[in-house]
Amino acid sequence: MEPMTHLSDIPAAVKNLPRKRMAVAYGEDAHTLQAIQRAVKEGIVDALVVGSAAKIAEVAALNDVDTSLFEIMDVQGELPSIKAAVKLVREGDAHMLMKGLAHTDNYMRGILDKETGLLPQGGLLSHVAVFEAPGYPRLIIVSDVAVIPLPSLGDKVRITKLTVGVARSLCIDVPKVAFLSASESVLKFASSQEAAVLAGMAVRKQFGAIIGEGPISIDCALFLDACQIKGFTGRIQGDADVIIVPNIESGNVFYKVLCRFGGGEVAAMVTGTTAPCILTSRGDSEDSKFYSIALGALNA
Amino acid sequence: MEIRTFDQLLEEAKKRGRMKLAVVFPDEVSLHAALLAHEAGISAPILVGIPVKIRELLSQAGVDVDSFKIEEAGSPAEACAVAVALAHDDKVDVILKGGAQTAQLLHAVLDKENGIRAGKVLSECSLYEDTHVRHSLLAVVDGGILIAPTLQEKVEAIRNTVGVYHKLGYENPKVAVLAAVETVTEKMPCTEDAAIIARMSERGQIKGCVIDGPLALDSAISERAAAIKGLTGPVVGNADILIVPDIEGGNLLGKSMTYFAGFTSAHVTIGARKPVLVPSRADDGRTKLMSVALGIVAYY
Repeated sequence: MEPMTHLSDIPAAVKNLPRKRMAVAYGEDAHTLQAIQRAVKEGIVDALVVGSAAKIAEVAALNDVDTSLFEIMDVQGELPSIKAAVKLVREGDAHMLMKGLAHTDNYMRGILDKETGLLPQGGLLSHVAVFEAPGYPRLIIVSDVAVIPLPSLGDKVRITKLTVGVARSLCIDVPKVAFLSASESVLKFASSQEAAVLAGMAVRKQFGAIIGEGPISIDCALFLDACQIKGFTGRIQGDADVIIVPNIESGNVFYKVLCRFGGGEVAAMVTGTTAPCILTSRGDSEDSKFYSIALGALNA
Repeated sequence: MEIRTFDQLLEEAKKRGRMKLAVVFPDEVSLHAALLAHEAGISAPILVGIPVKIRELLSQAGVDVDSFKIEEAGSPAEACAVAVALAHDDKVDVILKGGAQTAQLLHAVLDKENGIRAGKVLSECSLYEDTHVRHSLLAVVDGGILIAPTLQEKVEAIRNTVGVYHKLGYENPKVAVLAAVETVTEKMPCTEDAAIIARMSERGQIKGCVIDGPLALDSAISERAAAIKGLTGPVVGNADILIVPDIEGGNLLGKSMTYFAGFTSAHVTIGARKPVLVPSRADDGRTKLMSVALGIVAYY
């Protein structure tokens, strides 16, 4: 298959796959129910919403959401709802998880719970964001902009493996992976040296079939003309598919600046778990929530 | 022309004429080296020490006691200072350690006012003549001076050694940064240094050579081993310079080549304004002579 280049390619691909079942943790708010309605209507997932049946019916009625589109599991309260939804995924009754009205902390705690959660033993919980920027010819897959504040080198190795897996799900068979820093020169600070080490691992094929380069700055990673101006002749020439950011601050800034100034759209999910977990926030657009559900379904 | 044998090295040294060789507090070992270099026509010894004792050594060696210039110094420490001062004033071209402590001599070399420091890290370049397998010279760095080199010291030692290889006629010597494996892993910090150094080379931060790493010894010097492991590139199987992780590695590798393989070696300390030779008591005559030749060719 051709590599996906637009977020809309993701739901288009998912429609051709067997339908996945999504458990929604504490899905008692309008944003969540509307996103579910759209995803179900467009044939992306089946949904099982966990929460107070009465409350769900009330919110649905107020927001023109058709509750006949999904199943409801009647559970009272935030924490019990999260627990029940996680359990559905853990026991194989659902293929993926989505956050509803639940607080992110509580949702993550449910996923991370050693006894009842969705993280494999010794696993690393991370996050991937897939961006589409207007006029840019390919998707930009970035990690970790949301979960691990200051990843160690070992964490970055695992983040890279998880993110490369997501790139492959988007039919990018040999992703070009940029290990980001502030310059192409190897300098004395940690992000630069770690990027050099990660690029060395890529050269030695320790991430499988990828083309890795680092340290590299964002302009050379994403724009050919920047490479030409700087005379940079590395393995990536403005054509990176995957960006591994040095820390959460830089990743978060990239995320938000692209969406706010650049008119970018994003699909995102938690990685490292036994099943995809969608973690949308209220600030995300409706399209973004829809694409995130599709990304989860593609990887479920 | 690339110098590939010690005979060629000696011929090259002869082209420089007799260079002024200061023997610091002569003992039997150093006097032997100086006499060999004199016989070969590559040096004019200047013997720095106690004149009576020097004449005694010369007469024991069956040499006319007035053959060579003697500079008076009453102790090993004084001899270090006198020899280095002569070098500082360009009255000596090569310094050869006799019965002084190595640390004492290097201390004098690095003296800020009267020394011959050049603002570089001092490193040892040990050259081995492979007469059986590859019929070439092979450098091991650093088995003598840098005990547990930092990343920066390794980079400086590479620059020092590459400079020597340029003098030996190699335009773009091939440098292998050695480890026990080719993969990059946090568990073996020298593999991380090697990956960083290889990226610095790609970025043009270490010029005049081509570098690969991490490489195990076999991948560095055996094309067959490199091919079996699926490694490609100009360095693998064909390295000229081996950068070892620490002094133990360099010492073991070097002495293995001397004692198991019977390779002749030559050793010079580089990084100061003049070559410094630190012969070992166990060195044979050819090693002593070739070390002087190497010191001369490396600098002049």
